[in-house]
Amino acid sequence: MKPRGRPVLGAISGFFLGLFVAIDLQQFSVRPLDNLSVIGLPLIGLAIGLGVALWAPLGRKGPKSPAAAVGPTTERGGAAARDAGSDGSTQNA
Amino acid sequence: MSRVAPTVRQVGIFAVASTVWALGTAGTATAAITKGPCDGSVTIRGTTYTPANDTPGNPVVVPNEAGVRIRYFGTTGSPLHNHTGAISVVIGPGSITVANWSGQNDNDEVEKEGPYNLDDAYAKLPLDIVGLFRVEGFHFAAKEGVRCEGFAYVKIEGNPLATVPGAAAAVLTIVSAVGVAVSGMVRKAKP
Repeated sequence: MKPRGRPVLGAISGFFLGLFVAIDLQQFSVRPLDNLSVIGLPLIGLAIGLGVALWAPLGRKGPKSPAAAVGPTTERGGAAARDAGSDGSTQNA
Repeated sequence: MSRVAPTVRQVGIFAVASTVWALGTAGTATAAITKGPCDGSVTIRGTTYTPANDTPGNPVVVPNEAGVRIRYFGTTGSPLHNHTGAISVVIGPGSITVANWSGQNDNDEVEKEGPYNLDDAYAKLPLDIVGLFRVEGFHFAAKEGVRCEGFAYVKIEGNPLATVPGAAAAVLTIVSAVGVAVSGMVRKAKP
């Protein structure tokens, strides 16, 4: 699978995210710093960070607009018409 | 702020120490006594904690105040000699020893009780800490070959965001989350 995001950054950030979440849970008296918290949560965070980087759901281009997709067949307006007009004006000049 | 720097931190630790030591000295087996004939308790502001305080949801609660005196009690069931013991706070796969003791017990004591100033325990901590801790302890008598082990959960009251470790952890959690989010952004293709 070709990564689209930043896997190294994701893995490192995810690892530390898990570690600091474990510390937060301890500080807020939810869970002590046991093996699962200190080892398990950073590993889970690492996996999540890596997964997010491979998935890269942020910053994707949206689907093309219908007008752009139909562009070349329109008589007026649209990208094709603008391109044609532009070419024509150059020729006329 | 209600806490006095080195005071409150160690309250929890010695509460644990007292509890576990008390734990490490009696007869009836209770939940947090995992080995040996020992038992005990600690009383903090009228509330008595026993080895039954062995879950994160039922911890020994230590107030976030200076000048708190607690009362501990422990028994070994029978006289133990040439004994050693220690109490430690569990941090992941390791632990940090916060108290230890040793003695000959020439007087054949079977139980011990008394007051303890939690300020003395807090004075041993390097940082202002709050939160939930698992504390483990043991009491071993070399002459009789008797070993007691136990654990308890201790909750040091206080606002984590008012402490350096708590505030730093909260900020770094946000920074790490931003890092994960940035890693999930599609990279621009190189020309």
